[in-house]
Amino acid sequence: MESLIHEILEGNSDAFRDIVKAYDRKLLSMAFRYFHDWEDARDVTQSTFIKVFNNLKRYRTDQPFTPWIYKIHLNSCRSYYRKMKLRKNVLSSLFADDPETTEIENSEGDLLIILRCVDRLTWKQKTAFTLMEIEGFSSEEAAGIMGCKPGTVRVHLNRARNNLQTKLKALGYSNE
Amino acid sequence: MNKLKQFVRHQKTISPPQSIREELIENVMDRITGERGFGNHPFWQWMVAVGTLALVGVLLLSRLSISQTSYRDVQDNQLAVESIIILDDHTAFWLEPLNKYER
Repeated sequence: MESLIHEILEGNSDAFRDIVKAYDRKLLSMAFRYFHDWEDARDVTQSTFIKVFNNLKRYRTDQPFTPWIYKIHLNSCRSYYRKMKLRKNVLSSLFADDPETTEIENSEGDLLIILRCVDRLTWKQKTAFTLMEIEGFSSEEAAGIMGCKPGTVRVHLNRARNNLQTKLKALGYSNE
Repeated sequence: MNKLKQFVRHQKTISPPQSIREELIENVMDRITGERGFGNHPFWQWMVAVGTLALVGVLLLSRLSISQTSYRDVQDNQLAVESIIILDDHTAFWLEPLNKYER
């Protein structure tokens, strides 16, 4: 990775294709977990890669690359999420029923119900849950990505688990 | 909770469609090669900025000199009525520079 970055900084932009190919699947999947739409995920991930390319000279090669790129991606997701939330607020004020919400609530799939519960977590709880439970990062790595202490990430994760369990119990799912 | 574990397992299997991946790679590479292209090199961006400023300067100077010339022309050349033409309800005054008659 270090030699690849050096090559890009020397002016070989085509070498960046290897970085995109190495991370596109992971970053797209992560963005999809926030937006549940592949086109939104593609737009966010595209902006992430452009930011990575433009800030590559600021990357310190003594630090691991993966948390660095995830940190940029998380920021991109968050700003896109804010824009989407604003747009949705405007739309929901215009239309009585949010079609997406109705679709999920009408669905009988357990996974969709849990997905809905995860979506209702706070941003930090959802991010800690996504990074550690789904992406498999350690609390130290997740802390680096989220810009806080490992203990704080663990607190967010525990709160996320507790909230999910409470919500699922309220929906009739017992501790199996 | 089994349902939650099942959800996590399912989330781990989610993978983007190939078409989305290909679009992403092409879009990113197009943007990047565009950003590092001939017209986007800092040197050429400076050249375009300096060129634009120079062009604006030349245009301003030329406009200033034109307005000064026309003002002088008005001062130097007083006008005299050569003839009056009346057509129906229209009246036209034909003006000529006074110095035309003085020569």
